[in-house]
Amino acid sequence: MSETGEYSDVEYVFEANSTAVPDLRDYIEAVWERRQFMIELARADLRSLRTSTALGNIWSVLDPLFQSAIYFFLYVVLRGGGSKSQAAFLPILIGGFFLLGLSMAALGEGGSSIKRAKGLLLNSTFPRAILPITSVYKALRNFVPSACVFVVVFPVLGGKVGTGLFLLPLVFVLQTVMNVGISLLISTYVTLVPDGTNVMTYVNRVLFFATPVVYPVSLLPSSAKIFVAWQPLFPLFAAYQQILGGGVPSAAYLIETALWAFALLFIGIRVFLRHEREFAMAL
Amino acid sequence: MTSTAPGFDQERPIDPGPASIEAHNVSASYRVRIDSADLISDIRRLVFRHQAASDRLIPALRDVSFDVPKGSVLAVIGRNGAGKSTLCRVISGVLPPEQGRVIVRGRMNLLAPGIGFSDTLTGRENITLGGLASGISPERLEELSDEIGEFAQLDEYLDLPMRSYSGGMRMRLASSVAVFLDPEILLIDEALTGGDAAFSEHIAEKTAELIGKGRTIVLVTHGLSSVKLMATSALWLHQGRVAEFGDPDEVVNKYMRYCRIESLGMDDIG
Repeated sequence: MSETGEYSDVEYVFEANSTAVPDLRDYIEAVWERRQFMIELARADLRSLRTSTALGNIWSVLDPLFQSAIYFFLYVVLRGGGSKSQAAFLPILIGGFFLLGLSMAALGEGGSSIKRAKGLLLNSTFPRAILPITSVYKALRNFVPSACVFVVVFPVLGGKVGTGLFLLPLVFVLQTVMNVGISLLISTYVTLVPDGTNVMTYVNRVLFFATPVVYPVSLLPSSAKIFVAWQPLFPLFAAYQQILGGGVPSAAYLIETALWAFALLFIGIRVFLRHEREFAMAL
Repeated sequence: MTSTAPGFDQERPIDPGPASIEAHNVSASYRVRIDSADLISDIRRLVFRHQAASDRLIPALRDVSFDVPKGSVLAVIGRNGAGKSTLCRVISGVLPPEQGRVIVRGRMNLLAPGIGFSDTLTGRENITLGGLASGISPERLEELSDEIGEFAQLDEYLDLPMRSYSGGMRMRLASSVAVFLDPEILLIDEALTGGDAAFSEHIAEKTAELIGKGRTIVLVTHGLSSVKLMATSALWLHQGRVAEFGDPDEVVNKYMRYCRIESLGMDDIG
């Protein structure tokens, strides 16, 4: 009898009622090994969005340009130029909208990433966290043309550049960390809770209005602030507003943002890994 | 008469060491959503019975035990809904067992890693994504793409979006990806890897090649002739339970006898 082929040392044990969370280091290693898969999946998803259009990838630049034009029309043309402070808020508003798109993608696309990949999940084995993380990465790639457009539009609309700009990368990294946590947490919730998708529609809307993007934090009465400052996007976008307004973000906002970001990442990872095995059953 | 694919008549290199797959008293269920009838009945149920529109657990496997030695071929047979595809999903770790334990030793590929990606992507892109998800390097995949396309008889379709593919072309691509990624353990569910007779023979040849290399194969099939031809052991599942497990000829004969009796019974009822 000939020899059997060489087998690797890989051993999988699948047990019932195992609530044990996989070893985090091994899990991160497995996700990292599939990084090329994440990159390709995001690229393929973005490409497939454009293939049915005549302008193709040109849309990735046109989209932020049109969005900027709409805000200009709403805040400058329709309001007859408005006050000086209203005009000064326009570049901050546009930047805020582009950045908010990243967090909304983590909530929306990231949240539904497991449910949307049913076929893939039932036919392949890989660390499931790749799917929500890919949504965050995809949103980042999609953000690049918007950021380029914003860099051009910002000074044209009279945006002020201050020393706080040096802190922009730090705040952006904190937002990305927060987005990964949010997408892991929400994707678990939406997959396992039957009415999760319905509830998220309202959560998204509440967060949109509770986040200082369409209004300056400085104009918020303290009685209203109590209702909106409790959520993670508030200190984050308050810090963004200060930076884009030419100022320096306050230490309180930065610390609060960092605490939220790492707390959400920690909770997101714990919850996702604990429930990952139940996804196939629920889909 | 069944044609013999080259490779099946060779001596199979079965390892006497630890099995590739061990299943101990495995049970598994699916959660099925019960659709609500209308608004009034939903309110009634919530208010009077204090019960939400609940999920129901449907048992798909019950107390299933078997092992598959390294280098052997296990055929899984049974009627539709017997739990065959569920067994594949439990072995691959996609679906957690509700009870029991499954141990798998080796790198495995579940049936069709190409299935599940975007229709707007080309066949080549789907191969890349399926391979990357399975942990194959991009360089190796670049080498394999043309070979897989040729094997799946896709010709110029390989670089066209998959939405332009026929059902047969999709299945051919999916099963080609599965056999070409050189898994140590291959789980093939024929329900998902169909194709015409010529292609089935083509796949059988490739499977024989894997068997020749000492790979472990779990084949879910309705083709009883291929069970006798390829398998070293057979598992007959009936309503989620093991009806028979052992020598393929014996298991197939018992299964055929059962099917004949059942069809006679149906005739009587008719």
